[in-house]
Amino acid sequence: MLTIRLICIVAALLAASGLAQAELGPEQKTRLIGSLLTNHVIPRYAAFRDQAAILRDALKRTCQAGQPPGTDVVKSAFSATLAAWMQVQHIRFGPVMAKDRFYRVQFWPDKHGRGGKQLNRLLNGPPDAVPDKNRIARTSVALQGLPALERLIFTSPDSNDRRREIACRLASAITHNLVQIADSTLADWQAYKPADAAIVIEALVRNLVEQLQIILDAKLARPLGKSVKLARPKRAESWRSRNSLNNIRHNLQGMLELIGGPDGGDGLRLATRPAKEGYDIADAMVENLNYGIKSISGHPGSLAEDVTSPKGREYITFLIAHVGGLQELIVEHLAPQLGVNLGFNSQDGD
Amino acid sequence: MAIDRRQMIFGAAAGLATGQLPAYTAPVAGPLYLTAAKADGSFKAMLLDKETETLWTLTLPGRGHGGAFNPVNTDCVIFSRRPGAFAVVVHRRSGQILHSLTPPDGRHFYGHGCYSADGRILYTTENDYDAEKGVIGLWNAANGYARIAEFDSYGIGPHDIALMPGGRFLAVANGGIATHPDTGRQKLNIPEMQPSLALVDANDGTRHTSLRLPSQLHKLSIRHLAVNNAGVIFAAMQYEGAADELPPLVARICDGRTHLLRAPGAIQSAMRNYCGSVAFGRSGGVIAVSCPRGGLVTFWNEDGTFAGSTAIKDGCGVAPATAAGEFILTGASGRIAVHSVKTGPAVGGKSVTGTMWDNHLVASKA
Repeated sequence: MLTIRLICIVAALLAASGLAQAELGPEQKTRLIGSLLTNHVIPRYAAFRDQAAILRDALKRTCQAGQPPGTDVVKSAFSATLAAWMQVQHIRFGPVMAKDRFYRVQFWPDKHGRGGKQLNRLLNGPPDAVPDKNRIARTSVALQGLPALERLIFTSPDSNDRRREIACRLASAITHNLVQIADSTLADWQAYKPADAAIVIEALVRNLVEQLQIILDAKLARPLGKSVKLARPKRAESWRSRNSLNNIRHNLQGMLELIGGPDGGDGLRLATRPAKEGYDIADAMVENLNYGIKSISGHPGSLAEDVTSPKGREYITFLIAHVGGLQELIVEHLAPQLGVNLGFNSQDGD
Repeated sequence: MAIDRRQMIFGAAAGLATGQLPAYTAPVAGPLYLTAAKADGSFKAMLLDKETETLWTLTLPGRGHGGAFNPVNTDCVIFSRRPGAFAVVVHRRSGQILHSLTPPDGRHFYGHGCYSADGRILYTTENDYDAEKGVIGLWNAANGYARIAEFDSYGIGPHDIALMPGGRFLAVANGGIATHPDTGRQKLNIPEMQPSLALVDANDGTRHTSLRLPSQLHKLSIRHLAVNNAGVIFAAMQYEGAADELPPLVARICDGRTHLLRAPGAIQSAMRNYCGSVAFGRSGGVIAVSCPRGGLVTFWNEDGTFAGSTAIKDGCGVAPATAAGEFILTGASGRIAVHSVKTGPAVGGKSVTGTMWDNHLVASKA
């Protein structure tokens, strides 16, 4: 099955190579971006804001009832908020990059464990030292977002009353702040009027390539390591809440909407050449994304467990090949057809 | 006379390299230009003469980046692109590989380096990635390029490095961005980045000064620099903040004072918050700063005033041509052209089919 799939991807690459088409005109680009903002970007950020608000309220009720932050209701609200964020994690331009919002929602990977260290300092300090919902917005980005919240919610409840009280206060401050960030980001997206649609298209395509690279390197290859012995399950994203693979599934879902087209609007596939001789590059991308989403949905294990077993490692290795194939389709075919020069020299950061 | 000497380096493994100098071949009238490129589907180092003719081509095990010419002998060196695993020292006339350098354990190259004034030491910018700390590696160019020491770069993510006139200080562009080989080129510390330009004593590694940008510009990554004989530094920067902000992207540093420079009106936004390469012209009075995202090269006078711009698709390499006020510009489309700042747009030049010129074109002094 896997082999057949890979053969299909190779066939798609062969079929599409060497073909060129006139790129979209400026008006078409403006229309496409308008549609993507209205039907993809804004609804997705609204969904994230709504989930964050549900999480905030669930946490408030839990803490008011004298329980530690990690109740089932809060856990499931956290996972829903995380899922909503993963559907926009591929967007790294515009309002979400202003005021460090992106990093304040999720600073990851946190290589030096900045978040954990600061959290422990607060948990072991006086309750008065816990920043409130206003002050937390000015503290380290590693303390503000989903990773810090995940630690508070998914670490086994503390028997120490004082620490439980601190965890509640802190989780409450973080969720209030998260809703504020989500609110202001959404408001700025609603008011967002790009001066040049071509620049936005370029940003989106660059973001897609970058997001897939992050999935390949940081989310998959880094915890996988070179062998069972060198596997590092705690390097996986969201391993505490066992959401590592779910995150990737939601990432693919978000990208599917961007490329394949959201409800009532066109996706980036609009710009690709129509099917010829039975093969269409846009179909290949959409199929590839759907396949990845389905595959993860049907996979029983968690990434942290997978990387430590030979069979699980096979699956992660397959995902790496699959996501790599998708990235290649975007770099080799989607980008040129959209008139985006991912460049050689204009690539990032040299 | 084009010597197309294709050689393959097998991996970045040392051992291939020997200290033997190749037979002396006919001298080429300088200056010479060293560049990385992608040609015929593989990564190359190429040496060009002042007429932009190729003298030799060397196949590299991965993508190349910056380079340097030894000021006293015929060595030149090309560095791999970050996170870099190799550097290759080549005889500039024959194109023969003299040494292959690999970074020590726990380090990778950042893509740039320079020689000491007496040519005896090669300095390389490197990442001590587990400590998240920039370092400068020292290699004994006078004796087989053995690794001899390491200096602090006094910042995260040192990228370009240049020797100041007089040879006492190294100017280091600490871009401020932390990366780790486990996560490729992913930027790990954007909210906290603190770029700086450090002047480091070339003999003992002590810090002379660190120049920082105003705190509201802490996301302006100082990546490339060029120095003229008077000690004026021009730095080319890349902005990691929001795309709708338009901070200055060029800095002029003179006598320890930093002047941030803006291009007029539409050109500043056309630079797309991203500069790729910087070079002084032969006389040291004009500076070229390339903007590959914007597809243009900007020109500046030594006093910091703007001197014009020209379009070149995915253009990045800039180096002084033989005449004052003229630059050689290269682009990923294969275009290579001489541009005069005074007489306007580059005409002529040529497009080398199948060759994508990489980020930097490095000129020898003579």
